[in-house]
Amino acid sequence: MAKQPDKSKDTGLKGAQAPAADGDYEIPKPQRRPGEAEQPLSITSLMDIMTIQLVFLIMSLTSDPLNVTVNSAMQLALSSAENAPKMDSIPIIVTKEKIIVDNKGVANLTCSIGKDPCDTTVFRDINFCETEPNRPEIGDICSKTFTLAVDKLHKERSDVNSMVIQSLLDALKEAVEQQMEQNRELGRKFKGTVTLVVDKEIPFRVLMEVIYTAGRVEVEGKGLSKFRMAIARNQ
Amino acid sequence: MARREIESLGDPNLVPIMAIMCILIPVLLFSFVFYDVKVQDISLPKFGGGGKGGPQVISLSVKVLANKSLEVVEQPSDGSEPTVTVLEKVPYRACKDKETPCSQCDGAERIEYNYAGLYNTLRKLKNREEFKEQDSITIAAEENIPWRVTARVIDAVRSQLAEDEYGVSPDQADNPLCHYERAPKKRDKNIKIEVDPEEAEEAAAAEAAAGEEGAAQKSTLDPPVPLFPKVVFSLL
Repeated sequence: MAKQPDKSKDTGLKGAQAPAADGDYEIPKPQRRPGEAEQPLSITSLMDIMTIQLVFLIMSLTSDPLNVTVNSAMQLALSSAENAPKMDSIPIIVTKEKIIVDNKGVANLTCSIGKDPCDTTVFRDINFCETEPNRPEIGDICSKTFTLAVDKLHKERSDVNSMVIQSLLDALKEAVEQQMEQNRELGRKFKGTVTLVVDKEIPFRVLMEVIYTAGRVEVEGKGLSKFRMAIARNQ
Repeated sequence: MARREIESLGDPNLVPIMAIMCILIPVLLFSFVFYDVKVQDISLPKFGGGGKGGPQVISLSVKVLANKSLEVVEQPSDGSEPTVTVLEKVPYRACKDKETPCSQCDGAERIEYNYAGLYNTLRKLKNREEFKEQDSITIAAEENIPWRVTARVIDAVRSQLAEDEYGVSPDQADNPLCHYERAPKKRDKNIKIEVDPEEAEEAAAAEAAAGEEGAAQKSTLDPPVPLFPKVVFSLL
């Protein structure tokens, strides 16, 4: 029969820290000098680190002229373009759900996959069709017809065939007026530049409707004439 | 007496502020974009008839068709029959990383538009005398073409790559798009990019603000050699 090792030797503890008679171990208490008070946890240095992190993040976010929020409804297309976005352009964001100007949704998009309406799962899965169309989790979604169109209620005269998105036109006029006023105060010239931040699955028709509508904006004889498409750089 | 009371207050309790920061930092990190956002210029679509006058040039356009192919159309200004080059879709296997040779890519095979063929065709056209000075091209796409496809077509038409053609030689023919995707841009420090005078001023100011480090960073990349840099959109 094998000899059992002596537990009291294995622990390396002596005296009060050795196993109690019933087999339970006592938690060793930190040794403190007589008269020494218990010190609270000092978090001042951690606060410094966090403050620096917070300032860096806020600065990075505010200095980004486009401030693109990426989610399943907004994925940028990949491209090898090299021009940096400019600060003084008017951004128009086109997601799979809506068109956004000045952080306000101005027109909704209707979406269908096959004969069914889309939900967030469809938005997530359809993003894989570019790179992984055979991914098992997404099933046969890539072989179905994916349709995105601007809701006809937002079109000019509610005509589904119209190229003009009336609510976008109104919002852009307001944004142009606002920017012209700002430029007047700052003594800058109005450039009429639009940056389109478009989800990668947005069909060409919707893109053209947005560009055509923006081209129709005219305030004080000036309009939007320069168009830039935002992309994610792939090299 | 009052001074003693103030002194006895001790260190402020930073725990609630820490708690706020612990929430704020993950929220900001979550909304942070970790990839490089750039922009590419496009021109307004042309609706209705073309303008009168101007030089007699061959109108060049790329048609993006939903289930078929890409077509490069050369339309002479005298109204004669256009020359159409049809580029059928090609199989493409993605690689896990850029170090793996294209012939050893083991990703699932899928069918893609022949962007490499489009680039090869346009590069050949650019070498022809009648297109030497031409800088604009029309991209006409069908209604349901997703923006990601149009963005890659723009890439293929805008700037020249290091080689004249990709995916044609026998060693590249099995996965042509892989070779095309990895191709570096052709660059030339003597290329002058047309910029708005105001934008040039802004860029100079930004460069000055960035200091020597910014200037050094900028000088590392020469401007890309253009192919057909002015892109006009049109709906088919």
